[in-house]
Amino acid sequence: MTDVLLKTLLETKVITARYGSADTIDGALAGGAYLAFRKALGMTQDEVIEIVKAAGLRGRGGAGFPTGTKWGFIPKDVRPSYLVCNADEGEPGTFKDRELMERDPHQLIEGMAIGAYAIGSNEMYIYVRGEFAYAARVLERAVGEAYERGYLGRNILGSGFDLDVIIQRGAGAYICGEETALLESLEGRRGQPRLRPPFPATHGLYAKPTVVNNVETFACVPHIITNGPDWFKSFGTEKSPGTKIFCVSGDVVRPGNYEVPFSTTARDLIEGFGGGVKDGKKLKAFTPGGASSTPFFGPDKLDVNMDWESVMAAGSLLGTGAMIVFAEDACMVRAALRYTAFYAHESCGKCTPCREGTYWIESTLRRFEAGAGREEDLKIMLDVAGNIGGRSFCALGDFATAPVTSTVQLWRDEYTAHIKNKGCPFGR
Amino acid sequence: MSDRNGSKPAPLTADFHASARKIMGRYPPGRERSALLPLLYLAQSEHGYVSPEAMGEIAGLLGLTKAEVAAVQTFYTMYKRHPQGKWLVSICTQPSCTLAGANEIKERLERDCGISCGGTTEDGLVSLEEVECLCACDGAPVVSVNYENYEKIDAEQMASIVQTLRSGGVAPRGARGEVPEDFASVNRRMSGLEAPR
Repeated sequence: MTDVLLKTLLETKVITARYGSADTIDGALAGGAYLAFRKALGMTQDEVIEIVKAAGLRGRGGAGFPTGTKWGFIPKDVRPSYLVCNADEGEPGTFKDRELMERDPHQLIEGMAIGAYAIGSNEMYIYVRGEFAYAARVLERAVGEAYERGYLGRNILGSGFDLDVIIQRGAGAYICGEETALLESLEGRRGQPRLRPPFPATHGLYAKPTVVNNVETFACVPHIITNGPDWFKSFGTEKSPGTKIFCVSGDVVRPGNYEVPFSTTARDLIEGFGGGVKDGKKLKAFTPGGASSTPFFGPDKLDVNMDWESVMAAGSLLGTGAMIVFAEDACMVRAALRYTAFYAHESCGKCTPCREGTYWIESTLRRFEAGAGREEDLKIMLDVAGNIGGRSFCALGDFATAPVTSTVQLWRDEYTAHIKNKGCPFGR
Repeated sequence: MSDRNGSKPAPLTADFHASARKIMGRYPPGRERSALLPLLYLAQSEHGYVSPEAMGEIAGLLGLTKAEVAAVQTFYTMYKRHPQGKWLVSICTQPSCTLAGANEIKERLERDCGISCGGTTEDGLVSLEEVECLCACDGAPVVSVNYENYEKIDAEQMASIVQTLRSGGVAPRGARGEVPEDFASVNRRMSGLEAPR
């Protein structure tokens, strides 16, 4: 299939449709921004929630929890309640939320505003990753525009509904992408996950009912309100409806964000959109959904459909849709080291198995790369990994073990080569 | 702790305190502690790092102990415990950037500047650091200067940008078409002071 034909068949621009024309509010309005919010304000709160439920929208932050159900958990008799956007994108290999904020900020603000109306919240927060200096500036400007035009503030569009937004920057902590850690951070504390229950739906920000959703999730909402649940469900599969932005990077010809219907194959994304492996090399491995989506997949998994159920059935996780591609000459021990070092650095320190275990695995992997790895180190690493998994407060600990367990399982020969070669035989 | 000249930093300015009151007023009554992260950025913009003296003043403003403020400050990597250079150069070494040659960039900048990541040049102009994924992997390798990204850049190009900064010149526009602001300005902005509300 030619690249052009593939693009025509698969590229489905819904949440990326206004890229290039939505830098200002006038551009966004010309593309239909805030029409869905206006429509939602004419419905009851329950009607809005029912539409989102019926569309089957699932959270795009990694876990895939049904958004409408989450909104429905918010008790109606407790005030105030809060709506929070998790814009703390930090998963290695993910770069979709940053682009959504930079290139169509009003789509995010509108999706949040509809959500706030649905749950009866008058106060929303965007927690944007600290390093995203440009995205935060774009959002600040867009929020200012939305206030000026009356889409935020008092008595919005004559509906009697009031809504304010605060943009808060994180300060360099991946764990704040975990929703309860994010709420701790918003309250001015160390970003360490809370014990659940109680869940944020009843005891979230300032111990009040709170909805936390990812940027891409909110971006879908206006389109669902405008076009209806059946239209949304015409993309993807029954259990994974809609479109998804996949972030393709690493050793590919055309790295980039590609919005496609759920269930597009990994092959179409990597070989079609991504243009295949760079420099005519063969594919060695790819992550289906980011560092937290390991085990890695090998070339035998290229025909897996990229939706929650299919990726899980194939033994991994869809995560955030971050697909990092490794060519045949990439070192998987180094890849495991990069990921493990990431988790060791980002472990919040609360749970001992995660804090100490990631440190030990990282140190051992460094020995392999430095040429001092031993056969027994493989067993030690797997043993340490086994003592982290299931023994930490949040999912970070579980995810942290998969890079080492999956590379030892799939590319044990590379570890052995590091021992024999007294160092890395790859160099990249 | 003292700054690089061995002297204690000046108390936070009247402007800091006026701005701090404005930021604290954004949050619901009784929830002023939410202003802690923004205030740490604001303090960092005055001293080039978050000094113990500044933490004491912030603790006083928010009704916290200095230890509570320090616990938060030390948790987040963007709050610095030592004075930073005017230009903070952050090199991503996560997988996509590593595959695209991030280590060559890191080694080249360390050699040129005569420091390791975590350090600041003698002239106080450039700090280098190795960072986690900056989430711009389609532009790998990615290096940021005061959080303004340079993407698809090689060691030679990045070395030239750092050389320009060290000789007092203006950096070229980054991947988003912006010229990096200095460390003080970018931290002031990150306090959210200029937000519409």
